[in-house]
Amino acid sequence: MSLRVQNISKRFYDKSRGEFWGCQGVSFEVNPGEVFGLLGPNGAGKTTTLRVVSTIYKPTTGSATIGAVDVVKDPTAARKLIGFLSSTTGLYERLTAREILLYFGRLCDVPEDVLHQRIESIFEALEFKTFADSRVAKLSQGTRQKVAIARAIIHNPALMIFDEPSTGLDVLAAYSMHEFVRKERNEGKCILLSTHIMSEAVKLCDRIGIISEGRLLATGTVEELCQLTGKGDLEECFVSLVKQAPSDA
Amino acid sequence: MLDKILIVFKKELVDCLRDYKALIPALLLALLLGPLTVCLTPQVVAMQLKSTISAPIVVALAGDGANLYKRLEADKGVTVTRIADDKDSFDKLLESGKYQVILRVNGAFRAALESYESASAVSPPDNSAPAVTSDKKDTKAGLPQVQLFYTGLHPLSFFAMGRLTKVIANLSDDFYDQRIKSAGIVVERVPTVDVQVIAPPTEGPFASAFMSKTLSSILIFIAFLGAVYPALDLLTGERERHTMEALILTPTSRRAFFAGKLLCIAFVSFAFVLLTLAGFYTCQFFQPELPASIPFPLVCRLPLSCTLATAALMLPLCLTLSVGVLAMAGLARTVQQAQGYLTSFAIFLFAPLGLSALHMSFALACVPFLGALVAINDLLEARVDYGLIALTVSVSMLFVSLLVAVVSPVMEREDLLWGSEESPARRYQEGKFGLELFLLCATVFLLMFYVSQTLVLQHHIWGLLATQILVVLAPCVCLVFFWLKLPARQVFALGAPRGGLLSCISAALISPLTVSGALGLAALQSKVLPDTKSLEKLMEQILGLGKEPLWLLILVIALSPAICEELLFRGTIYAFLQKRFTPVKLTFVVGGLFGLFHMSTIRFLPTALAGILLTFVRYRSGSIYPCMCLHFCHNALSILMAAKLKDDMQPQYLIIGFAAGLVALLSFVYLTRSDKR
Repeated sequence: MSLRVQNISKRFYDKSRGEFWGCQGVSFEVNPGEVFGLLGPNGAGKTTTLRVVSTIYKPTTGSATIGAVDVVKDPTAARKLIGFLSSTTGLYERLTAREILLYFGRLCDVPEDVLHQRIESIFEALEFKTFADSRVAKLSQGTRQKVAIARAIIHNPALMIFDEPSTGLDVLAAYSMHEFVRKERNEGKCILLSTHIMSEAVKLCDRIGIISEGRLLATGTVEELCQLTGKGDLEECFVSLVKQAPSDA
Repeated sequence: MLDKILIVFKKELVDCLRDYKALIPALLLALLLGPLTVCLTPQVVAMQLKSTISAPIVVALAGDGANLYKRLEADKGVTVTRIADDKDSFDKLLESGKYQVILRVNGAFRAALESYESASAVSPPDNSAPAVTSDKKDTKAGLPQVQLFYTGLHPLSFFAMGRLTKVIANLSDDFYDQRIKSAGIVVERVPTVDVQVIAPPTEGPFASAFMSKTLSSILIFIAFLGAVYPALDLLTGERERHTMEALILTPTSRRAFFAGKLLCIAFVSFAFVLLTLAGFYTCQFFQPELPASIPFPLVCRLPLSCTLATAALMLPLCLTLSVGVLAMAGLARTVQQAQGYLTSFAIFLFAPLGLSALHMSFALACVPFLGALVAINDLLEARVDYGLIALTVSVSMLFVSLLVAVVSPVMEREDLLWGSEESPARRYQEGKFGLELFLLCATVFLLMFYVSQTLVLQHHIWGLLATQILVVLAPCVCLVFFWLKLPARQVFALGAPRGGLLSCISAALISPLTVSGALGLAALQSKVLPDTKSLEKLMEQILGLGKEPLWLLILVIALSPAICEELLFRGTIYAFLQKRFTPVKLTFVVGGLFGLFHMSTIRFLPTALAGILLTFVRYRSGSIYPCMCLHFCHNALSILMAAKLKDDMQPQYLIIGFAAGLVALLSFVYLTRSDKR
């Protein structure tokens, strides 16, 4: 199942800034078994784009489809196909990891017998079975991140969306996160992630979209982007594209 | 959906019950409130009374009162000190609390007292008995006088005044008795008053007065407390901790989330209520004997039937309260903001205190929350009407389900979740001003109810003018100019009307139709509703019709509503609603709101019909000026007819007026025809 994002824009308003675009005319595709990365500086519109795709925001214009499901017209059906993971998303501190997974599994209509099996297999795959029945408040940051991942994939979604997945993680936790993204890709899932870390983009993404000031400036593999800009590596490529981009200001 | 509601409910309950830091103090309070109220309150009241009544009165004695000083000093209930006879310093001495009462004695009193004390057995009685006045000049010259000063600033001073007056009255009685005795006269005393208290019955399905007056307030307080803490945690807290994001990304409906959370909040609230009730019920068996000094009944009596029925009636109340609290919490971005909202919502906690005079009626039973509250009060006083109780419970349940449907979308509102919103100008273009319009209408209606009535009753015609400016004009101007900063010309439709000046004139000439229509309708209504005449007279009295000059009446009753009410209804409300409704619906909605705004069942129909016509005029002309002209002429014509014609209104005038107005209406329609738009 592939993701097609067509010309999505999201307008915001702030009393001091007035109206401004969080993202504007963003279009791209992500195919099954592919990791597509949105690379951009802070405030570039990465999170806004991901939130529109994941049905959290209603776009001002444009649409996105996952397979045949339109996320704007039928957000409930789309939500069954999306697993969203963000570094800012919180966890219920007073519940255990198992309770959280049971709760979200039931909310996502996972049948009860399948749910219990899936929880056990996720615990094994993510290697945190020992903490399964500990309350989240007592868990380390790395283990919490694993609980958040488990929560995002409990309903076995076709599209995984990661919003800056390794932000705030130590080296080992970030490594296991990367391993997890690769594993999901190898299972044939569509993966859309955002990052501002060049090395992460190079390591994980099959294709990259460079985004700045709400506009998608270019998309392609690292090689294609280098070819497009005539630069030697992704960092130079990125700087060249962002500096050339017409500014709204 | 029910299975999803139960999933959410179960999770939220577990989450709540594990929040020990908040749960344990709240549970302790619920459990201890009964024992504290039932057992401790009478003891505290008794101690207070004892200390007030039995403590010696602190008296200052000024002037020539050596004999009185000796007598007062001998009284154990009085602590007396002599002070200088400086009347100007008395105020300060009393205000400082140093003395509770000051007695000022003049020379005549001393002489009289001495003469009494040294009087022989045969001396005849005279009129020179000591008199006590409370800071009043004695009108009978020569009478011995004691002046007593106290201050209303300290309650103890008031009590001391009463007690000292009695002490001096006793002293006076003693002198008389002494003289009567020495004269050898036998006087028959007036028989003492036989005081009999009819004790309230102690058997039956009702609570004691103490319980029936206090229990509902206490239970509402506990229900509120039980609802607030989980509501803040489960909705606003969820936003603040960023767990809401994951929740709204699941395919479960928002209504299921809201209902599940509501169920949990109502459950916790109801559990607290049950614990509190259990505390009260148990404590009545352990209430210590009340001290005899307490002059009012503090007996706790709560029969089991009352307890159970109160518990059952608290269930819809807890649900209504919970949905209100959850809605408030849902509108806040942060817990701190929600606390602010809920503090203002807490005003409802005082509602039971003002309801003791209300009893269940069909109308009250139809009001959610209030109906159940009155039903509890009635129930505690053994006034039970099961039909009305069933009605009020059903109304509450319906209200709750309606609110769940209306409020559940707040869970995923982008502006509350992420602080992102559309600009006011764009929202105006798209007609997305639901919340602001609700706030405007609620503000105006509340101000009309609380402020306007007081203003008009106290300041009559000027109160009416103040109402137009403060209650009607100010809220909409503040909203449009200062809050939303919208283009006023566009919102208030200040542009030239279709058909130009002629359409304004023709609109004004419609007024004979509206006035004769209103009079005809009033005549019809008076046959159905008997109170119309008394209302008219009351309005005339309040507004001073006939007393105030005509120009003032025209200014206040015709001109000011034509400007202020039109800017509110055909200006702001019309502009905010025009994108939501078709022109026909819009005309009826704005007209209906205009009728409701006048807050009178008798005036609703005429004003609503006038409102519909005025909204039609606004729609046809595209401007507010023809509406103002018609509104002004309608009110002015009504005043002129009331002032000049009084009861000489001939039916033919009405028919002519109606026909003339109809012609003007048709002209107006012609002048504002579609090719002119």
